[in-house]
Amino acid sequence: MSNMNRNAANRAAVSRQRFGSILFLALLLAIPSRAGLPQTGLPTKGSMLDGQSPASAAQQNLDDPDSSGDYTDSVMGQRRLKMLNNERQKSLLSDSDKLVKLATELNNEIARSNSGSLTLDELHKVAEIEKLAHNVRDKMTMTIGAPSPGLMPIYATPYPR
Amino acid sequence: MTPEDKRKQQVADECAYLLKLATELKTEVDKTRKDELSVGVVRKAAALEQMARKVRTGTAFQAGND
Repeated sequence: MSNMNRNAANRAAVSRQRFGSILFLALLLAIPSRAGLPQTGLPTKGSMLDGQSPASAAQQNLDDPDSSGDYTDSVMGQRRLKMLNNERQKSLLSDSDKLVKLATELNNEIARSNSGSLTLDELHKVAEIEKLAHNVRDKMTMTIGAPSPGLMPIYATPYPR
Repeated sequence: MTPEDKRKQQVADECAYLLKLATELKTEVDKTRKDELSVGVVRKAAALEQMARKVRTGTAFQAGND
């Protein structure tokens, strides 16, 4: 009977010892991660596993350009670029349509009048063609986004003035 | 061919060339995608601008002399 009592006491002591060592290990692992941040002052990459608050993690995401906090900015930027390029393309198409219309009108008027000089209206049309062509060139050189492969550098053509 | 006829022919040719360039430019613009920088469009537009200036200033110079 006394042997049975002794065995039960031993088992209880062993389990207490095991529980104590597990608790000690848990404390040992938990303390440095909590205490390390304020002491070192070196913030780690924004994650919640290191014991940071959500607010400080968000602040780090704002400060760090490589973090995922810029994801929304880059998405918005991409959308904005896409929108600008769409507008630019529409404007280019409209300008080129106007150019063909003006040049056709001018050609028809010249063929009809059959004179060696241009009238004031025709001169206005030629000036408008010049302006539109300049706009098309400017808009095309202002393409936004990644350059196309095999792109050649563009130099301004010198015009005689 | 008299000088006046030559001048008429020259103006007609210049305007026909303007129309040709404008049509070619439109074709190039139609071929271009929205996020693409087309060297062909830039060159055609530059040529059209240069030609239009030539027509305008040439005619203006002649009108001033008349």
